[in-house]
Amino acid sequence: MCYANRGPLVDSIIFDNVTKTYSSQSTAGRVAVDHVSLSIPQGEIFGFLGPNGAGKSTAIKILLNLIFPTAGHALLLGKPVADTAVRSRVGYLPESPNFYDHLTPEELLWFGGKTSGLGASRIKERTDSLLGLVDLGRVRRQRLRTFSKGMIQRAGVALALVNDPDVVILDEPMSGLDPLGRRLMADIIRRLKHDGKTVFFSSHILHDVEDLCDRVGIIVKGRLMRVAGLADVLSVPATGWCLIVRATPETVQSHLIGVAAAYTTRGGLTEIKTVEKDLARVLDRLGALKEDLVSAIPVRPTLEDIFLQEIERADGELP
Amino acid sequence: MTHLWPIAKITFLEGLRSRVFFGLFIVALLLFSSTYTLSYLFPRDVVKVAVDLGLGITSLIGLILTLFLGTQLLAKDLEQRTIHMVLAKAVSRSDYIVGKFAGLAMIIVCSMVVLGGFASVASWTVDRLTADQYGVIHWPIFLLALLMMTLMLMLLASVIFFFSSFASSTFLALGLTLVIYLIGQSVEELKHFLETGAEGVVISPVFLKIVTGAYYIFPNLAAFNFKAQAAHGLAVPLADVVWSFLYGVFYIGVMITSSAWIFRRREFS
Repeated sequence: MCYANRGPLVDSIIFDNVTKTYSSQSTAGRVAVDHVSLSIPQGEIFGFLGPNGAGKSTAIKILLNLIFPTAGHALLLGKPVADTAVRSRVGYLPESPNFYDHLTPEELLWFGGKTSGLGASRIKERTDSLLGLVDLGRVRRQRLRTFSKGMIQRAGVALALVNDPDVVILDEPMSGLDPLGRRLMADIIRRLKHDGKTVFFSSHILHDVEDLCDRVGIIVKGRLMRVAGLADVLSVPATGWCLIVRATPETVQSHLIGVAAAYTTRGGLTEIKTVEKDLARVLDRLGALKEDLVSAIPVRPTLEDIFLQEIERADGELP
Repeated sequence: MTHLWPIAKITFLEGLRSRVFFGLFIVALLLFSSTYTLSYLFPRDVVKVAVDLGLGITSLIGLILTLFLGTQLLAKDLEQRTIHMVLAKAVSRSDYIVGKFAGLAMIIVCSMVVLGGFASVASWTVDRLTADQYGVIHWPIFLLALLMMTLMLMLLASVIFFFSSFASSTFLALGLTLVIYLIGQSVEELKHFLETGAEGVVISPVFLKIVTGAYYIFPNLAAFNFKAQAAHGLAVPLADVVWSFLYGVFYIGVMITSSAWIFRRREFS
C-alpha cells in the first residue's frame, strides 16, 4: 500500500509522561521508565536506543499493555493501549521470540491472522506472501521446534506482519541474526517505510539504527535523554580530517615535523588524523606526497559517539 | 470474546501433540488390556469388577492428564513468555483464559472419549468371555459415569487455572490443586459422618462448622462419582444428575471468571 493513499497523518505512538516503577520484592522501587514523553508520527522509522537494562523493553511492553504504567499514559493509533481492538493494527516481534514450537509456520500465521480478525482467504494470501518474503516457504509445514534461532526470528517477523499492521514494534530485531538475516530484516524495515507503516524498533546495534531510522531516541536509566532526527544528529560540522597516504610513517613524519597530527599504519598505508584548522598546513607540508594521497575524509561524531556521550551525561546527572 | 477459537485450537493441538499425551495412552492401553486378567482375580461379580476397574483406570489416567497438561499449558506460556506473542494480538486477557480453558476442555473430552472407549471394549470383552450370568453392563449408567467424570476433570482444570492465574510457580499451582482434589473427594463424606455422628464420639460444634464451611467452599468432587452405580447397576435419580451437572458448570464458571479477573490485573514483564 502506498503512503500517499493513506488518510490524514496522526501520531501512531504517543508516550505521555510515562513512568514505570517496579514494586515487586526483588525490584522494589526501581524506576524502569522515568517520565518519558514521545510522539512518533505515522510513516516514521524510529530507533529506540539504549544500553541493556535502560528501559527499552519496558517501554515496549507498556505499549502492548503487557505491563501497566505507574503514571502517565500511552496511545497507539490514537487509542489507549488498553484497547484490545487497536492491536489488530499492530505487529510485534519480541526480543528472542518464543512461539508455540508444536506449530508450523503456516499454523502460526493462521493464529496471528485469526486473532487479528482476518478471513481465511486473506490469511492464505498473507501467509503465502510473507513466508516467501522471509524465506520459510519450503518449511511451512515443519514444526517450529526444529527451527534454528534465525528461522524462528524470521517466523516471528512473518507473524508480526500477517495482519498488514499500521504500526510495527520490533524489540531488538537484529539480535541473533546472521549477516544475511540482518540484511533481510533491514530490507523488510525499508519496505515497511515505503508502504507508509510506522516502525518503532529498539536496538543497541548502532549501525542498524544509523542505516534505517528517520529519528532516534536515546534512553538511559529509564530517562529519555535525547530525541532527534538522524540527519540533525549526524549533520554537524567536521571536527577533524583523516588523510590516508601510500607512504611509510617515517616518510610522512619527516614531512610533517612541527604539525599536530596522529599517525597509524595499516597495510602499507599511513593514516593521518588532524584537526580542521591544521588541514591546509598538513596538505601543504605533504608536498610531493600529495600524489600518494588515497583519501581525505572529514571526521564527524558518529551515532556511537553521541550515544556514548548521552550515557556519560546520564551517569553524571542521574542517580 | 471473538478470538476464543484460535486460542482453543492451538491449545488443543499443543495437548494432542505432547509426548505425555501419547505416553499416558500407551499406559492406559496396557492397563485396559490387563482388565480381563485382573477381573478374574475376584471369585464373583467379574463383570462388575471389570466395569469398576475400567472406569477407575479412565478416571486415574484422566486425572493425571488434566493435572499435568493443565499446569503445563499455562505455566509454559508464562515461563517461556509465549503469552507476550498472544497478548500482543487483539486478544483480551479474558479471551486468553477462556480460550485456553476451552482448548484444555477439548483435550479432556477427546481423552475421555478414547479412554471411555477403551474401558467399554475391555468391560464388554470380559462380559462376553465370562460365564457370570448376573453380570450385566448397564450402558446408560456407564455412559453417565463417564460424562460426570469428564465434567469433574473440567472442574479440576478450572481450579488449576484459578491457581495458575496468580501462583508464582507451577509446583505451587499443582500442589494447591492436589490439596483441593483430596479435600473435594472426601469433604462430603466427612460432613455426613460428622452430622450423623457416631456412638460415644463427641464432635466439637466449631469443627463441624469448619467442615460445613469447607463443604460449601471447596468443590464437592464426590458429587460427580457415579462409578459404583455403573458397576452395580444402581438407579440414579434424575435430580442428582441435574444437580451435579449444574453444580459443575456453576463452579467452573466461578473459577474461570475469577481467573480472568486476576489475569486482567497481572503484569507480564
